[in-house]
Amino acid sequence: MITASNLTKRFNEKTAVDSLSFEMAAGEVLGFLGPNGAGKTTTMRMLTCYFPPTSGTATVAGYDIYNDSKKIRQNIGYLPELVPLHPEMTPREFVGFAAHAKGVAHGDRKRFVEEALGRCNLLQVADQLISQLSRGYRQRVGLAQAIVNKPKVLILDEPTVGLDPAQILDIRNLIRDIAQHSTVLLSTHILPEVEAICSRVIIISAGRIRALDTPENLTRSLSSNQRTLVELAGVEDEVAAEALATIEGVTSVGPSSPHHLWVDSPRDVDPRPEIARMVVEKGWKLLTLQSQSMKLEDIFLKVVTSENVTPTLTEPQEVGGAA
Amino acid sequence: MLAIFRRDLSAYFNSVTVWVLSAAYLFVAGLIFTLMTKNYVDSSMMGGMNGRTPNIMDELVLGYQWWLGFLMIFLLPMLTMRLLAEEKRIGTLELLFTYPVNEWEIVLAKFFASLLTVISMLALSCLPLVYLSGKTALDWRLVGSGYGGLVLMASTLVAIGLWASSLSASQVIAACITYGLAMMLWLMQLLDSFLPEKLTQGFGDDSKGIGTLGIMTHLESFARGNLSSHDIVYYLSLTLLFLFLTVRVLDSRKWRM
Repeated sequence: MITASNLTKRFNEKTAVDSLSFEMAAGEVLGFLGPNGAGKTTTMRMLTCYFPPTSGTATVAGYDIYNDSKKIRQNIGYLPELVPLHPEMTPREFVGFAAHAKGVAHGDRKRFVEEALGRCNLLQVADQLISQLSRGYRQRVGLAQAIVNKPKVLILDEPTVGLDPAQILDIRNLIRDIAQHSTVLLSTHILPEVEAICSRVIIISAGRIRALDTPENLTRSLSSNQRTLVELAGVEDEVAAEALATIEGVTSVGPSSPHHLWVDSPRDVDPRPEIARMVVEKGWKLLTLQSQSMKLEDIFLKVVTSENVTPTLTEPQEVGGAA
Repeated sequence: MLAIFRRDLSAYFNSVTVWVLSAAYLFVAGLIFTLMTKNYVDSSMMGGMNGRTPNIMDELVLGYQWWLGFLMIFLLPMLTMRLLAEEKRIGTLELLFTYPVNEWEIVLAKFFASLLTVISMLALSCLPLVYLSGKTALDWRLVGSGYGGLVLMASTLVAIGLWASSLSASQVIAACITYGLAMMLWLMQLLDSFLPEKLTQGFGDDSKGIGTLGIMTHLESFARGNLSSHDIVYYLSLTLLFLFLTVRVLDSRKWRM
């Protein structure tokens, strides 16, 4: 549905997007993950034919961005990051305007507009002024204008930014619903979002692709270590740590919080049976024994930061807060 | 294109600013008309004593239309300043560029929406003349020609305003640039009296000098009915020039670094 090959965009000397290449199959939900300023919006603007790339090319919905830009724009829906809307219009008027401007045939227009309003749960506020609507409703109006022409490809730039948790959940469900009918490319810097709705992830930083895979594969291929959380009673933490470090395959042990220790081992070694045996032998009390897979947040941080942040040095929760 | 035209037109007619501006325009125009009519009645009574009645077209209608044009210089920049600047500011312009419309369609849709708003204002300014025609005979062809000139002048001012509005996301800056250019075009005709004759007299015998660049100079030809093609060409070429420049400004996002 989308192929990008060597897309590059330079502003003066600064390279915003640097030879980006990826493909997207129909029906896929691809997450564009990266810190602010990574080039997500610039890439989306090239794909939506807002401006052409400095070099490289792309096709969207089977059309070339140079030669068939109008065809592309007929077949996409785009929601820019700041959700631009005309505040003096009502959702029904605005979505109607979008349908008209996007070239929806006169006979279909009314039906398409009502459908888009219905799918975005906007019918009860359809005749209020947009200026009087809450942030969550405005986001839905933005989505409604994007889907009103039943686009093959939907491009959403940070669709949940600035919403409260309930609204975020709401919009995510809506996107999941929309994804059943079209291909969705969405950008975000919120990690759980990607894990929640995307079938594949592109991690982008400083204009370059750092990783491209399914969230599960990324987790598997990038985490070299497996971490096991152990909670013990009846023994001092330092004593326990020393003993656990002697287990075969364990690479390091450290304190997580009082009475909690983490135990790292290579990915293909599961130290849990050995830990359990040792605890029984020593007569300690085992309260928790849990294998923790590396979260996408760790991978994200690992991939986009130049310093090698290894999971053995950072606590997952803290990393999440920092990201 | 029709979608954008209709959206902008309804934005105009739903805007309080536009209604207030129109009301102010028509109020001042009506006031001027009243004063001029009183003047005309006075002078025709005096003229009647001398056995010479002044021509109503020359003395009243011409002056009224001159004022309608003059007031437009002050009114139109406020009407056009939001056209593109506001859409830039709230970001809807970015959205518009991703719809299947090209820059010319956007520019023309906004131009005609704005022009039609001005035309409906000018149509209302006709009412005193309709009233007058019940009292005395008017040369409607001349009135029509004068209004034709006003519409052409309006299209020039709208095109300038549209271009100014495309330059930044600030309506204030757009209005300032439009005022500056409109004033400059108006003052052109005064240059004739300041500059040395060599500069102000053009080439050839009957050609006029730099004063012909004045935006009000050409309006007079329309109102007097002795217009020539260069009056029309003057307004149309300025209009097209600024529409073209606006398209170029919108286009510039594609190559600007």
